[in-house]
Amino acid sequence: MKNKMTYSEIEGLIPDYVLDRLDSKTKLNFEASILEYNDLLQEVENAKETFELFDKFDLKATIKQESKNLGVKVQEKRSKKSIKSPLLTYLPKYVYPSIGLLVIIYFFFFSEMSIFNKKESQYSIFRDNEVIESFDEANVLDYLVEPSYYSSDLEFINEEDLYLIDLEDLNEETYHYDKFHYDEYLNTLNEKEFNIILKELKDEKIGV
Amino acid sequence: MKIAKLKELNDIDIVNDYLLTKSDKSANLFVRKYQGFVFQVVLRYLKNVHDAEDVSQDILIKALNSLHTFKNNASITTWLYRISVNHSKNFLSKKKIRNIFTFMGDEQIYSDFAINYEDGQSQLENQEFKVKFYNCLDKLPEKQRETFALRYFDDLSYEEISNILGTSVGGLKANYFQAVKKLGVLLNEK
Repeated sequence: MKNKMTYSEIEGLIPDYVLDRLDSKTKLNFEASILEYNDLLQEVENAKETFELFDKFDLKATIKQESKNLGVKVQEKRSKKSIKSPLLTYLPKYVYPSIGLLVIIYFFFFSEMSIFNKKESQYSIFRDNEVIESFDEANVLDYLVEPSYYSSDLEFINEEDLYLIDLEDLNEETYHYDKFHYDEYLNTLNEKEFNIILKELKDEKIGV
Repeated sequence: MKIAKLKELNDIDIVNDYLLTKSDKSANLFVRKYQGFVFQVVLRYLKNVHDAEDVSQDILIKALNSLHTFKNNASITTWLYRISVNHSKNFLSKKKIRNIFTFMGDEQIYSDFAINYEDGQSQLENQEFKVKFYNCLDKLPEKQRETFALRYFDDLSYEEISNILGTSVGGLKANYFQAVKKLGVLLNEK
């Protein structure tokens, strides 16, 4: 024989042989080659039994039954889709998301509830302070939160002494800065104490 | 038109007919020719008949709408297979996310196969065997399962299957044999 099949080649052709899907030349070659392998002859018998089982339960037809109504349903869906107006298509796709986005932008940037507006009001309370004006806004905030951080002398100054009301209650309408109180405190400092404060401020690189 | 006649129709003829006329008749012809193929592919991935029906309908509509993008150098079954698999995988991932939010557990596979008890005994046995068969098919590795289904149910050539699955013809033959062998064993288990 010219083209004798290998073991794995025969194995791969078993299902097609059982279902008679081999061409005559390949079939002859297959039948001649398989005689050498008893275990493959047994595999042919097993495959025959399996396919007979499929035939017994009419597997192909039963499975095809599942999709028999699909065509009608597709037709119905297609006709429904073609009736739909373009406006109804664009509304959920573009208009609703755009409106949602605009609302979000408004609340984030322009409304009174905006987090950016809150920051603005917190910073604005320091604007009239001539001493703190030289500091950048972030450092002023640190200073107010923890005055003792910068100087032991400043520990004497209670936040409540500097401001008439609690910081938490401050807003642009109710805020009054006690400039007199603060100026008086600065006047009580001698030159040495003042230099200590300046040195500490310099070390902390505040206002630089 | 009978299914046998539908099978005789060339893929290209069907596509060209629809692209030229865009008629319901030609769309129906396309759907009837490929509905079984698409449904079976989707069902093997989704393992749920109702989901498979819905997804198959969407796939067939999508295929009809984008039929003008189909290139004649590929087989239409290859093209449809890829759309079906991608669509099924997308559906599965969306369903997974949806199940997380709705606290739904995993469904039993192929649990919603309609078994009509009013039909005769043989029909009932057929339906029961079908459920058992699908459960056995599901136990096979994906390549073996797909090779078996495309070869046995859809009668595709090894070359077409090779284009779809990206496996060599020799590998496909081995997969087909292994699939038949394993199915035989699994179906005979009690």
